[in-house]
Amino acid sequence: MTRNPAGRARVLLLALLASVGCTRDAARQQHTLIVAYGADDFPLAFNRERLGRYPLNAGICEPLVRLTREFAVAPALAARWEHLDSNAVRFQLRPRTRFSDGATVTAAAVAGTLAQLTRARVDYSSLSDSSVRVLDDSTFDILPARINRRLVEQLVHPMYGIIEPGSDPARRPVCTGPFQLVDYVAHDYLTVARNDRYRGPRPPLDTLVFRFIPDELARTVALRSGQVHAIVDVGRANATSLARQPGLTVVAAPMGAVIVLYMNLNGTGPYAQLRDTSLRRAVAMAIDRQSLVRHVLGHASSAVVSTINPPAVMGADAALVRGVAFDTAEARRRMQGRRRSLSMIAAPSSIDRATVEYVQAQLARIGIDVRFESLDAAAYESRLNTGAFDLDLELPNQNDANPAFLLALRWYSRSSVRSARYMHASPRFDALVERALAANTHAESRHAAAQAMHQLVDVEVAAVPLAGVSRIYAMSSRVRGFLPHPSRLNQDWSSVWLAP
Amino acid sequence: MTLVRWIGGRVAGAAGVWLTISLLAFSLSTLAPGDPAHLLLMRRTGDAPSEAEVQALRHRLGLDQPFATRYGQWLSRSVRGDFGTSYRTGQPVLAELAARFPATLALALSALMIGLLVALPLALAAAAHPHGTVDRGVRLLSVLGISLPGYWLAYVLMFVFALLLGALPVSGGASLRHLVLPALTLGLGSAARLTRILRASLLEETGAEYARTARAKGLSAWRVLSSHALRNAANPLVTISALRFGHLLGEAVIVETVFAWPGIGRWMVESILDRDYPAIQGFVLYIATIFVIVNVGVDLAYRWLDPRMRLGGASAA
Repeated sequence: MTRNPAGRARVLLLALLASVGCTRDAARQQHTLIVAYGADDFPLAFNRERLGRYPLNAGICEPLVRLTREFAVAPALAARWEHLDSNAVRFQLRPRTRFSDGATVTAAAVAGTLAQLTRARVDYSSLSDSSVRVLDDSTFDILPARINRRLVEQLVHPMYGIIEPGSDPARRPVCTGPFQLVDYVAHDYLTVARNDRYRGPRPPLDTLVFRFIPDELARTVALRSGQVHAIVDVGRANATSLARQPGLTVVAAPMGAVIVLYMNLNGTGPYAQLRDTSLRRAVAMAIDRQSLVRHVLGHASSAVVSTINPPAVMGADAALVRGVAFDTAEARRRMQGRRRSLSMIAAPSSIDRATVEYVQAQLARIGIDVRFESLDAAAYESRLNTGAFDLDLELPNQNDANPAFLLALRWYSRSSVRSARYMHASPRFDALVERALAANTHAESRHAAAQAMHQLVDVEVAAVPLAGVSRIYAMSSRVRGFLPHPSRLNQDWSSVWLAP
Repeated sequence: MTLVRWIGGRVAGAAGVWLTISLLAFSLSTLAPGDPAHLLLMRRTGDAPSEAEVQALRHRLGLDQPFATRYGQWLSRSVRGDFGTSYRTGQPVLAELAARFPATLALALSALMIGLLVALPLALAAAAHPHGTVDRGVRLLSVLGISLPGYWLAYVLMFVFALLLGALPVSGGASLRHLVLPALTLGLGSAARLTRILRASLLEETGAEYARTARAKGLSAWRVLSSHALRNAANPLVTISALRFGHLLGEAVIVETVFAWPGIGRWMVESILDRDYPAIQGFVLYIATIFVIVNVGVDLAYRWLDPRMRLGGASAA
């Protein structure tokens, strides 16, 4: 230490300045949360005009209605709504809601946003350029181009977030959410800051940074080395080891997806074996789903289910679907001692190898040899759309509140998707799906959807729900207030804060 | 053979290679299973598209045209620098490549530099005492370096430098610090290969008559090795380094994905998975063009470095 008083004073002054600097840095750090996200898909042509909304919902924009953690519809920018007739819904905006730049939210902004989505051809609610009829500044009707009674349940999707007219949806969308866009560098990061004009409780965070790190192990190292505070999409095997790390917390969201074994009901040539209902039932009976959950998927993140979407979507009506009970002896009896060979494909990147091997092993026990082919996304789609498979493992997500969404998309004979021609079930199932789509209330729709699901799963055995799956997050134990949503697209970060 | 004729022959050969690659790139990418129109539409909403939507998009993208027509149109546009528009991003392919290539080039050049800086002293040390302890150690290290997969080394370096030492960022491309780990990953792998080649080349040169003469004249073994043998051993090193550079562009695919380095590697992987034909074809042609130019450049450098080449193959023998 220096003996010179002037020198000592200089040292003290420098130390004081350094400590003030550190304190300021610490304070600033305290309110900045860094989340490691997967790959950046905003530069893709169809996503470019959905910056901050889809597929990463950064909390910049709010839709008219939102999806609760129980898969119900709740008011967001719209204070209330009512069905006028079989196809029109009248919405009333919340009064005095402002965009982050201070402009008032009007019905014209809603009309502009929905028109932009239809022009970009990303809408999936049968909207058109002229679907919104503005009545006054805060009242408007939405009339889909085709009859769509499930419109309100679909509008919870974050891509329907309302943006200010004139703001650039690809570069700087101005919206009403708890955060506002600050900076975006493609494939690197997206930064949002607290929107002080937000109509609800202000987020405790000053800044929220999403860093795009496609590799899961790299995300894990970033978390463990303190370079980020939280990571998304933690693999099941990785979750167990992260949970043991001091200073880290692993959080499983409520169940948001179900692993489903699809069957080719209407295949031809070598893929016609599963036209036989008895064989389909034998396949369903041969798979011990309890054991799959316990030994392969893990307790913390999975559950045995009977429905093909998360049971929360179906509410009490989920009990209508019982699922085919595990019974190896009965499955063997149905096989009548014959050996079969079936081909199986699986959705790449969402179904892990362990699940595939488990299904193979279970079916081998009753004399079914399953040939699995590992395909990339394009080859998989090609096989699915040409019916060149017997079994197909998928993990469909539920991101809106429409209980008949998946049923109408994949098994309904009048579905516009190509693969439905190989999976569509009976006329009775079609009638129940139509009832669910046309129901006046959500409760009626849910009940009809559950009946259709019972027909699909229990009666016709056209699909086997294997296990419910949760999305897993890992974060520093300093991260507080995180409420995981079963739908990743609807994850809200506005309640999160960092403990000192 | 005159220099002009020699260069003409090389350029004509390179053009032939380039045309063959263009045909292969175009046909192989379109033969792969999977419909880009369907995949593109899937990406819009996350839902499966209808048959009519798929057919309309196929028509708009020109995918319903005969193969020969599509190849002819693509080649004609490509030679004018227009590789078409990426299905995935809606941006011109050349602009996408030009935006990302500098990052990949920086990575490949840094890795090559690291490779040479590590390989040179190791090879000299090994060749100074052939079959000694140092030589055996260097050979063991280079075998290890060649055998270990790049992604494994990437994770090891990530654990050591980001997690244990906390010295370097895990991923991203914002600064030079972000370049260190991916460049080390690629560079150490290259160093192993270059060390083996340079060591063998040095040993061959130290056994040559001119080296024996130099030693007989009283030059130290080290002086002969570092001043005379190294200069002659550099010729194969130039060729190998140029080839390594091409390989590094390919190996960068995995390393860029792991470290989220904003080069063409990850972009290429996603383009392949999405059957983004213009991007795949443009990438292959772009890299092939660079490869061909580098190889012609190496031939010229070789001619300059080795006087025997200037005199023609027969007289040199």
